[in-house]
Amino acid sequence: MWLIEKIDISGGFLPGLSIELPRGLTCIIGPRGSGKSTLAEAVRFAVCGLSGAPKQCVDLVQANLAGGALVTVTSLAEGSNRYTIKRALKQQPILLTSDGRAINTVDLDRGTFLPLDAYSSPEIEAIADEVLGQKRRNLLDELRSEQMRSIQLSLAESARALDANADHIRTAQRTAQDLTEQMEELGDVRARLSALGPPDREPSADFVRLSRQQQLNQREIAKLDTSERDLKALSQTVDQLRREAQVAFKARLADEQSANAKALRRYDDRLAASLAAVEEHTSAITAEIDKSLDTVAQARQSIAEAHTSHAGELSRLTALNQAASEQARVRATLEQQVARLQALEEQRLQLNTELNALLEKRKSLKTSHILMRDQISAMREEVASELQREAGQRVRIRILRNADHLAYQQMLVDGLRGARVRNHDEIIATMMQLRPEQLAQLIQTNDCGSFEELTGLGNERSRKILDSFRDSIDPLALEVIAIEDRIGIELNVSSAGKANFKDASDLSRGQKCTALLPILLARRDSPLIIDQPEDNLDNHFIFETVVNAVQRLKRRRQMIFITHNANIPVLAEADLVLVMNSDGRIGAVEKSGTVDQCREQIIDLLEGGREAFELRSKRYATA
Amino acid sequence: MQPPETLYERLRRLVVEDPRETRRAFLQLLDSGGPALDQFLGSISSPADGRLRQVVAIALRNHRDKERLAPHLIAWQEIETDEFTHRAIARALEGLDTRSAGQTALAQEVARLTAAMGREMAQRERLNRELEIAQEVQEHFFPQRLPSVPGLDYCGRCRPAREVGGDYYDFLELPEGRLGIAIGDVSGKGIGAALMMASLQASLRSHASGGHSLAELMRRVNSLMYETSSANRYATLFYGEYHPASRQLCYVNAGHNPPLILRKSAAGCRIFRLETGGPIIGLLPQRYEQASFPFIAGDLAIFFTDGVSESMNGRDEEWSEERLIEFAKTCQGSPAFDVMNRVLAAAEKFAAGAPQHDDMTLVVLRVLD
Repeated sequence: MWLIEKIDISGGFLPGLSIELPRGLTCIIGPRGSGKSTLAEAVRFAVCGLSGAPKQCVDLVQANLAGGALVTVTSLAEGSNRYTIKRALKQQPILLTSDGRAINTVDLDRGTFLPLDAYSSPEIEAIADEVLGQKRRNLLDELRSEQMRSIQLSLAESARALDANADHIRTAQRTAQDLTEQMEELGDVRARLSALGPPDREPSADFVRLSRQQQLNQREIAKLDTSERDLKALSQTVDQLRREAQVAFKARLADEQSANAKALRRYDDRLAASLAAVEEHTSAITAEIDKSLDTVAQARQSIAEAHTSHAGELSRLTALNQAASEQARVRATLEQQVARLQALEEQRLQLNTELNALLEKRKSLKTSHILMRDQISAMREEVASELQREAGQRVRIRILRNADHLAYQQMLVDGLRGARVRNHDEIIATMMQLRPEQLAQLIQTNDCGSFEELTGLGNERSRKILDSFRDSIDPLALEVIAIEDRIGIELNVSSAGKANFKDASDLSRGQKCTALLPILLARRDSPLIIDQPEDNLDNHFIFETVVNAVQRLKRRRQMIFITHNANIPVLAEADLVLVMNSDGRIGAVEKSGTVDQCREQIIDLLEGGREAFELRSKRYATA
Repeated sequence: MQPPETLYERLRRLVVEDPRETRRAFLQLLDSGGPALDQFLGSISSPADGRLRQVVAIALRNHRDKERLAPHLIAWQEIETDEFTHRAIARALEGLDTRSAGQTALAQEVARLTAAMGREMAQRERLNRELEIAQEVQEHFFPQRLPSVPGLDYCGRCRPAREVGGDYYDFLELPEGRLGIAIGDVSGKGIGAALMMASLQASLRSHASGGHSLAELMRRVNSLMYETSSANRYATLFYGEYHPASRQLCYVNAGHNPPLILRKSAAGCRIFRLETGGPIIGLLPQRYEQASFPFIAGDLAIFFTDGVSESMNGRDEEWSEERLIEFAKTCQGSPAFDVMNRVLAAAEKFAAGAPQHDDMTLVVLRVLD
């Protein structure tokens, strides 16, 4: 808890303004243009700077503090430390301790050193109107800013890790796809290789042996030929011999006319008788030769069979040998391809191991990521129930977990476009029962059966939808898509009987502020500035919600209300009323004091002033 | 059976890690049924368990599954803060007739019980201390306050044994100033017994105001218990409704030790036993009979479980009903609260420090002038 003790402004629209603020409730009243909002915005400017303020507030500050006007805010912090902040437009703020030392290590604009809650009407309405989005969440998250920041840091870190992991997975998956394609190209080389049958070594040995035998066979034939030729030549020689012998032995010695004829005839007869003996010998030789020729012919016949079988075998083997060498060539190619396939398989196996490790890692990353988000929701629930305790029955604040799901829904709508199915709205409504991580898992595992069971969309439609999602949705992005909580801020608009809670966005302007104020009041114990330059509070519920809460909580925190509603200062017992006025050139505090001291101005300036005082006196009377 | 905390703990993480596997595990649990299922369903009632509730709601396969879990679904729907779960539950309840009064009453009971169990479980998530949980759960079932009934002085207490037994008693505030009195003993010990007790109490409470005769009420409670509890679980149950105007106690006794009524007369003390009814519940579909007992001023009624009458001493002797009656005679005229405390003290004194092996439950009722 800290307090704004004193505000000084030099220059600008409120020159020389110097006010001291009490603990509890200060109400600033005055006609339009008297500088009320300028005062409120000057304080916000001094304490928090301009970065967080909406445009119209920045404009106001820039217009009304121009020309070097200096805003000085003196604050009393816990442990009775006093700090003074001095700030002028376009200058660095100065933060001083009570003994005048400057502190340079604090960035006031971060809003953690001296946290200030300042809300103008448009800001309050913007929170009320924003059904989805960060503004309402900020109301809660700011109250656990330390834890929230550390969770957000961890979330950002885990989001980065998830991104990197997703990249790795995608690369690995692409490579795996690539490998698969290459493997498919190779086809069933193993089967083809084994279909070749075993490579046989025996035939080639036979072939060598048989070729050699073939040579031997030829030589044998040649030898037989030679022998036959020699024998025939010999036979001719013997014939020749016989013919010569006939000539030689038939020589006629006797000449008939000669006287010796008779004597010589005897010798002729003896020669002729020798011829017969020679003839007998030559015939015997010829007969022997013929026998030998028969022998050779027999020999030839006897090996001819063997030779024929050898020749047949050899020609078969020759054919085989030719085929075998063709097969060897094919085999060599196939063996190369198998080796390549094996390498690819090993690569893919290794890749799969890596991929599994990555997916396993992702599982735990994803789980802790999602659980951290749950932790944020749980923290918000805790804050909401704390606020609910303070805000009273009329207003309801609750966390609708995972209700800010537009991005997810859009992803589904887009993903469904490619599916040729009808009734998209109905399908989306059904699918919105599935959490992103559930759907992502179904897409990843292509689990059409579970999808069908979970959605009840039937087999054919489920198949089409899942196929379309697989084409168009990245499950890695889907499973960690951010789905935020919605903060329900509702007002019970029923005045009696059954409660009827309406969301702030559905309320009238006056009711919006009525619904939001109890929550803004209850949030924390730092000073609160509410700027309601017009009366836009719905008087119907103002006692039950705003007035009671202000009265109760002003003991806990300092409040500065710029209001047109008399009920707030009068019935919530303002500790100080500041009445401001302006001559059109500059504004100033015209009067300040207690509610009673400023009674006249309250009745003149504020709507319902008289009634408020009457009600107040009734209350006192009964009290 | 897997220790329930482990299953719950395991599924809590698994539901984020691997929703498909979680669904499979739950369906398995659903099909095996029994106390593990009830316990699991009871332990997932905190806002942080929306993910598990969604898996449960979306896993239900058919009308039968959905009807079976309807009380849980209705109870959860009331408090659900997670949008996905909300949609899943709404869809599961589509087409179910959830408007019947009995169903709603049962759902409210289940919600009350599951919330109580859920709180206990949440506190003891890390400790697998089944007995302690069962004990506290059991305590949740005992009436937290006594409806006031004109002309009646009554009270009840259960003194649990070291191991949690299945004793049960309840007082029901009924229309026309009537008071429902229930006392029973569930077979077995531990969480299983506590859960049967829970469903016994829930069904009794949801049927009690249904305007049936007591015999019919008991028949319905019995058939519900018969359908929903495992074969070896049963319970004794005495249920009576006291009408203060007529001083009549209308009752059905389903196999419970007959409550005793002590009436002083000139001839000494007369004893009545409330025995009419039928067999124990949860075993077979049965019919029951009811009876009515007219009280007169001064009557002292003692409802007890066998833990009291069979209280053992170190020599394994039982205290016995006779000793109970003899002792109770000495208490006539004292306020019900004193009678209760004195009877319990006497039973304990008899046991003389021997460890108490069963719950001791006593309800005492005194009819005033």
